Amino acid sequence: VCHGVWVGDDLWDAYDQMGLSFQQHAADSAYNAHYDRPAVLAALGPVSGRQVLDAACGPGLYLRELLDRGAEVTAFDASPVMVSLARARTAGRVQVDRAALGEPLSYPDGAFDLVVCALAIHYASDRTAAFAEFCRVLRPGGAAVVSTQHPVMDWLRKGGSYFQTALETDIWHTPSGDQPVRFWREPLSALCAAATDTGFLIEKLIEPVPAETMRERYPGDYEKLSKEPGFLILRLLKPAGPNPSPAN
Amino acid sequence: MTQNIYDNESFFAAYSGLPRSVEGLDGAPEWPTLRAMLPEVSGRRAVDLGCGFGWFCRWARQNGAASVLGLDVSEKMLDRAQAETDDPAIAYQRADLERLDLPGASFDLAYSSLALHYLENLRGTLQVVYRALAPGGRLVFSAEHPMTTAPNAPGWMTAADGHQTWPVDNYLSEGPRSTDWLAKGVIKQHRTIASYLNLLIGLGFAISRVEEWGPSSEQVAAHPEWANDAECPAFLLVAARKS
Repeated sequence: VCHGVWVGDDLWDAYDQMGLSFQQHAADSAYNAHYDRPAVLAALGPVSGRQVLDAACGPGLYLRELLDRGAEVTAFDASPVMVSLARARTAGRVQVDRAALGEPLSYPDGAFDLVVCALAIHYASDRTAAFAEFCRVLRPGGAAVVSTQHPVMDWLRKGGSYFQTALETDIWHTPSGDQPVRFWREPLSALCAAATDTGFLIEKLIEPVPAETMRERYPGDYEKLSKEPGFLILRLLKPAGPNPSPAN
Repeated sequence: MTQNIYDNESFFAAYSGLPRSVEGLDGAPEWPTLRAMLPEVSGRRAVDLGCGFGWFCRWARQNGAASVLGLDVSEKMLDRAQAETDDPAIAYQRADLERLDLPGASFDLAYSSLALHYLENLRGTLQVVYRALAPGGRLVFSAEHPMTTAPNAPGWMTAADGHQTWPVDNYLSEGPRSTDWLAKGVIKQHRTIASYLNLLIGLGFAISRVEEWGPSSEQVAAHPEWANDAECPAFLLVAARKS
């Protein structure tokens, strides 16, 4: 998947750099608060009483939503600054570990009913390994909900070939200055293969539309995201029975 | 009724001149990718939805398929398919895929090449296909990629920063698109990637493989006119299994 290119922890460094300013941004931004979170929470469905793992939890914005909905939540993030923010935000009610997507996780097999991984899989250099760990820590019949940047949007923004798997850089304009954020770009077929090769079944593929709350708050984003895909959500099922044979 | 553009004289003449019409499957650059998504066809009962000149029907039989039913809405296509086939295990039938009627659990493989994007009521067709497949049966199809069908006014253009791009605005707005491909006003139905996959999953199919086809660098070297197609996927290829 990573085509021999090794990229270390530094993709997550951007989040250490942004720290609290990212939390403040994501709490009410068009793309996080009015597009990603409502669609991902809807895709998760009822979480009350469920064991939920938030993989790459960032500053913990999802953790509060999940706690409010009655879930039993565990979380991890690769950025120590994000881990601190997430712990502070949940006041000790959630175990927040330091771990990176794609590395082996410390949780036992089958420990969770649901895994949520919001807008982070594109920072994992080995996405197949990340999906494999999601599959391992889920119980049979459990599901993972993974949101990411839509490959069509990445292609529209970056040009070149839609088919390439490549490390790209965005510049985020933050209150503390311009922050380079690096991410992996790959076609939809590669993302689906990374998920299904690890034993997941695609239960649903969602190309979300913006929440109605975006219409007045961010009219320009609302209009654009009502026509073009911005993010993509996969809901993946860990089959309850023995794994079906791989692709044909 | 599905638009029967293939029986239009000038469209048919132009289509008959395409490499895929002259050379068959080997003239279709996406065929190696699609072939790799097929199950072993030997001993299987296959149905080809939109069989055209019957190239796949004959290929399946050459590779040991027990029987093949080729369906197409175009009489002209079927006439040539019939003329080029001498095999009692291949049957051709004229059928509007939107009014499909197939016996239940009677096929092991449903195949369709670049036909489903003409259908308005794709759900109805796929529902019949699902019922017609035996348990464990496979559906393997190609369709025009939703990025290709998205624009109301298709055509490459230059983005603000100078790179070549294809307008994907209106991607989320599904429905008919009129294109001038081999003839004026050919109607294709645009639907999103999510719609294609969720339609299948909702009917009970499990998705085995999703591929997006664009020409390889070797194919672009041989056909420089395909250079843009190497940037933006032309076809969506899906393999699914009846669970």
